[in-house]
Amino acid sequence: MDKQRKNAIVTGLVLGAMAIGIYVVVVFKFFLGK
Amino acid sequence: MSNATHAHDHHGHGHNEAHDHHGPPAGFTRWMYTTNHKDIGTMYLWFACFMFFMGGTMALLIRAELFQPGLQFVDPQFFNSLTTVHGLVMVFGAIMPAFVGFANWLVPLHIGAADMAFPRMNNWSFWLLIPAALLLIGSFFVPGGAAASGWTLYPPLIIQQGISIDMTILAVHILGASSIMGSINIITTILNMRAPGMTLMKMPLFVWTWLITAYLLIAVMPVLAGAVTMLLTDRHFGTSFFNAAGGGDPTMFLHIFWFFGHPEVYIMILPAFGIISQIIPAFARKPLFGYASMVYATASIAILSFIVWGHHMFTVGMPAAGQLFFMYATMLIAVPTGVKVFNWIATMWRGEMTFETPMLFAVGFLCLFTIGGFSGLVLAVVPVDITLHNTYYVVAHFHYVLVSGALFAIIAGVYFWLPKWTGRMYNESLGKLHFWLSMIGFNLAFFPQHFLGLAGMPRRIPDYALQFAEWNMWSSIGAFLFGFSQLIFLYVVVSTIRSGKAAEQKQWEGADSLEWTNLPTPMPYHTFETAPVVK
Repeated sequence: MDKQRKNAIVTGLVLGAMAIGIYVVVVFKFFLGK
Repeated sequence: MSNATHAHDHHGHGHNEAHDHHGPPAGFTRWMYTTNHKDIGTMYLWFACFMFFMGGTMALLIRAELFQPGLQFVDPQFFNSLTTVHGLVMVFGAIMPAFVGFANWLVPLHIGAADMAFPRMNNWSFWLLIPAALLLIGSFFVPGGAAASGWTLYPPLIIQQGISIDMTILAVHILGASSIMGSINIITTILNMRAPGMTLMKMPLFVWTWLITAYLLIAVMPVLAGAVTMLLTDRHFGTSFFNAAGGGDPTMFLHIFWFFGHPEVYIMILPAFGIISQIIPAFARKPLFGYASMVYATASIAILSFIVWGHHMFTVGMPAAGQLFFMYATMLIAVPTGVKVFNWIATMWRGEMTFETPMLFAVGFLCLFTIGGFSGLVLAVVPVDITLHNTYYVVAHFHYVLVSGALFAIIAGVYFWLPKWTGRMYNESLGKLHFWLSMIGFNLAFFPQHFLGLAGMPRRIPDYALQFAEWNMWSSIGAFLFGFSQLIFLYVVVSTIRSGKAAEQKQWEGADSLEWTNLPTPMPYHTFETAPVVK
């Protein structure tokens, strides 16, 4: 796997984790708060 | 902004025939399985076009009903469904997919990349739109009719309606997932796949605006998804997040929704700024004035968009300190936006301007978007907003931003890049006719709505008091003129694709991004397989 491909996959995974993380925080903050 | 001195692209050197022979497969499978950014961009744009006409038809039904007082064509429940689905379809089905279509077409070409970073995910992002659109439109045909709560989906009303709400919530989830995947693709492509020499500060401004927009999307779409997930659990799983009867708080939904909703406004306008920033320099035949300040202004607008959501809910009851904070923060956004308007005007200043159709729409954007910006400043003032909240003044304001802002930029962009995309030139006379009819129709439709709002006419009602009759009549006439003039646009695009005259490699003298300087017209199916070197 070339370096550019590897960097792209890492960037994509980090961004995807960000999105899922924000969703989880929004929903579960309220679930736990109740 | 940048010039590639030496392109190693195969297609510029007679090598392209071999590739074109095994280019796109024929028939439906080309579109179903494609991973080509151009094909996917085209599909996004046609999808947006279809949804634009769907949403437009709903708008014309609304304006037909409002042509005169009394109930003429639709019952009040259906009227409310029309306003709701019109909003959802235009925001999530027309404007956003259109800009993603532009991003698919242009981001790889602008940075000298062969394709998007994740082509298969790109295909998936597009095809997710179809079930979402079917759910949204199909909700009209289920018992109880489509969602009638307004596009903001406020509880407790939204918790009480029928199955159409579940369809809408599922559609919003799917559209959100599509947007997030699209954004991940765009950011990854821009950060990792730029051609040698294409530094961040050499990128065309369109790429910059999309980079920032994609970050906004990743930050706020999950927030919307979280909010509608909680709506769903309130409806079906016994929770009471937003149900006051169960100890919940409906106002909390407003906070969460508008934390998404205000950045969403900028998601719909920043790519428009990018398109306009490509078009004005091309027709002024001058480089964009203040490139770096444009980048910083775009980033500033994006950051500020996170701290102004409260201005959508001044009337729900908020401490004075909160009102002041959101008022001043909102006014602050006028500063970077003013920088942008100043820079566009300064770009035109003493330029050798010509006014072909893309430039006409760009100048139309500049004048009318600024009016929408100013009425936004008016609404930022707390006591004024409390008076004008939920009136037609607000409707006029956001249509000046989203129609003469976002939509005019999309139309300008289509006229600008159509020769490059199709290899054919559109009919300039029809383009200009389309512009002038749109300009007259749009202003006739929406400028009187300022007067109606100032006079106190509420939004989302199918009937109104007699004193509002005359301006409503003019507004409806304008809306029909604007709506039907878009058929000219459709005709121009289709006739260009079918039988337009051959376009030149660099159709616009002042255009300087890589697709104009380094690629032939029409473009081969695969471009920049070997990256150009940018100086």
